[in-house]
Amino acid sequence: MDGGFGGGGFGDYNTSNGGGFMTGEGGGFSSQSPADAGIKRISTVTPVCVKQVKDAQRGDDTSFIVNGVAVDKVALVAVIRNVQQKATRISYNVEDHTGLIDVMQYLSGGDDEEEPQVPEEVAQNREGRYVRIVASIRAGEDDSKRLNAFLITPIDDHNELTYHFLNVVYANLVSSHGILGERKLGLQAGQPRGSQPSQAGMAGQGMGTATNGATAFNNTPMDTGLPRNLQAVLNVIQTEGSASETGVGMSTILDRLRPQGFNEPQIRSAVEELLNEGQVYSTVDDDHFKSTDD
Amino acid sequence: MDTFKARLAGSDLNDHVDETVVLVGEVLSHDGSTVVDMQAADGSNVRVIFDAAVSDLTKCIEVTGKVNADGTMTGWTMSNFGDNFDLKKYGEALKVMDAHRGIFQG
Repeated sequence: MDGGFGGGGFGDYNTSNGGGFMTGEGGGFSSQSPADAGIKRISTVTPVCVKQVKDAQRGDDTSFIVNGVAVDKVALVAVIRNVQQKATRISYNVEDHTGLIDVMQYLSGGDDEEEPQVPEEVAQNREGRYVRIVASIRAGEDDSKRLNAFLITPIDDHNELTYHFLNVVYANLVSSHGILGERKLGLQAGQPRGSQPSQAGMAGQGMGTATNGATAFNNTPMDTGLPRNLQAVLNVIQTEGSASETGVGMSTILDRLRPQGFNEPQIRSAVEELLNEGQVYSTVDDDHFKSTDD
Repeated sequence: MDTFKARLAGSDLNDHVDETVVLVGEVLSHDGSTVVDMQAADGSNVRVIFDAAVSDLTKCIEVTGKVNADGTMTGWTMSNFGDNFDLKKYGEALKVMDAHRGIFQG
């Protein structure tokens, strides 16, 4: 088998195939520098395997510690072994062959009188199917871990499994040794940071344009948070959607951001990416959104 | 951990006799019932005998099962990985994972 991790080239997978080492969907990383910690903690999605979730330790607040770093949300790729639907939630038992874990997905109804509806994409989550999960970690009294899912989406392109495992290794290396190039910024490897390398922040940071995985890592200045368009959309959803059960509508987001120079495709694309990353979720319909941090 | 299953590249099956493992490969032939010959990520050929008939296989599949002493596998579960799964890159990823196996196994 020729080539290596870098020379073998994961760069030929780009955003067009629904996954990939360089894309917003399949993997990639950004982080906050410690200098950012005092400004605002950007919520991140950390790629993990089930074993890491089960080994996670409780943090100071509601977060859990994975590999020495506090994580907000985690992303897994796993196969469903059992599904049980109840009135207001669906319970899954999933595994990625590093471990088996329970996942809870709560269903939202239109109002109190209405029976919660099972979205079409959720109905596709059957036993034996690989899915991508964005969730927060919860622990029982016996410290057994489970996941509360924001998003469980079926995987059509199983190359995403490959990319996910590589993302897990990379995230682990970054938390252990620091980001490549970090020393140039005067940061120390392993220095505590507000967030783990995440999947949310990689888009638009240069990794997608690289043609070679190793080169991409070396050349990417990954000390920023979310790309500008994602951060702008997230700000609107957080500030204007937090007080309302239904969140903020797409028309409001467009009204707020067009004057800032964003066009509609850019805004809709950013919303889609934030949905995929589990940073926001849709509420009463596909055009209203709330932040998962609310 | 009792639920851990090693993801193998193919030629390393012999090191895991009687263990439950995970193997991804390309289907070379299928007898229409329980026997599937597949080429694993490292190019080695592996015969999988499922405990029940399987059907509608895609080009690449993932098999979970037990490794037998004769180098075959007894297949318990199977997932279709489609016709566009990149087995070569998966094999490269397995090498990376193996170099950092502490992340994935206890």
